[in-house]
Amino acid sequence: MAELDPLTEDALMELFNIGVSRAATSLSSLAKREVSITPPNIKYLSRNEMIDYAIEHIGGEVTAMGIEFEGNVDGHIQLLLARQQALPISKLMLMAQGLEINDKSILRESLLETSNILLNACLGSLANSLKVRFETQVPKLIPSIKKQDIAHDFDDDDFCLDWQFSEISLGVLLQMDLSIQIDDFNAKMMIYLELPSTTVFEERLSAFVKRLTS
Amino acid sequence: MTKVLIVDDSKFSLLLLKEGLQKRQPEWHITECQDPTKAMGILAQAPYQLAIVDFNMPGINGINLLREMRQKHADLKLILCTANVQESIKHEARALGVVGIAYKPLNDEILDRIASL
Repeated sequence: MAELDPLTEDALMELFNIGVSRAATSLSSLAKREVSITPPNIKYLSRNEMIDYAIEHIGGEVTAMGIEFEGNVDGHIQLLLARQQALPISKLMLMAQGLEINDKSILRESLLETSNILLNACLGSLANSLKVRFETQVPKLIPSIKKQDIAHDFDDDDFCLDWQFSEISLGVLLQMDLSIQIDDFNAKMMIYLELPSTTVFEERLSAFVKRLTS
Repeated sequence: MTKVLIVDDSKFSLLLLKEGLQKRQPEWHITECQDPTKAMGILAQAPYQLAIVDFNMPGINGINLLREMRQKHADLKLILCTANVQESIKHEARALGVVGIAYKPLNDEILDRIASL
């Protein structure tokens, strides 16, 4: 599989780092807690391998919130966390706003909207740095990627999505962790860029590197 | 009495925005609309002074909805509310003459500014 050259790869990781930092600031503002992040790492995987990677690194069942995007590069950006953390983190977001709500539809909305804010913060930051535009879809929640258990926590069959992709799809995966240490919450933010569409994107990255170095 | 329409497909966002504004402006009459396709119908029923519209919604994006609102209700103050920080979206919203862009997550400062309109 073709990979990005080291300088482009480095620039991409730095831009992702900036984007996730912006997302972490948003999360900190929403949760009214300190949020820490890990350095980014990069992998070349198919979409399905990405799912295995997420399960392996999060452990057990995974809840995912994601946004598909198109533009100079196609891909998707996801926030993933252990399923057992989904409801508690959703409650934390509401409590931080002074709301004590146990209605599951509101809790689901809280989780989805929180993810929407974080994912768009990261994606928008990337787009602005590279001077590109991403057309985004509405965010989707996948309560559990284990199909037989989907929607267990949220009682909502509307969100039963089939998170399977063509094995042909190959791309670049960037990943960082966000943590609210005081509550022991951890989430992974991952952006997946389709390799067949990265040519224009690489040009934009090169232009970005040139702007910085000239 | 100021009538405000909030359009957002997220119940969570509607709740936070309504609570935040109502706390600051208890006399405002705030209508929530979770289905963007119904927003124009609501505006047709009574005169509103302010509409706050989310960007990323199913069926219609906020910019298109703001455009429609601008065409049919020239005096209506418009605010785009979004988590999407892309510059291109900001330019489109400005071109429509919005009085502000409220970036999510909404904090006290943003809510104060909306409430002062």
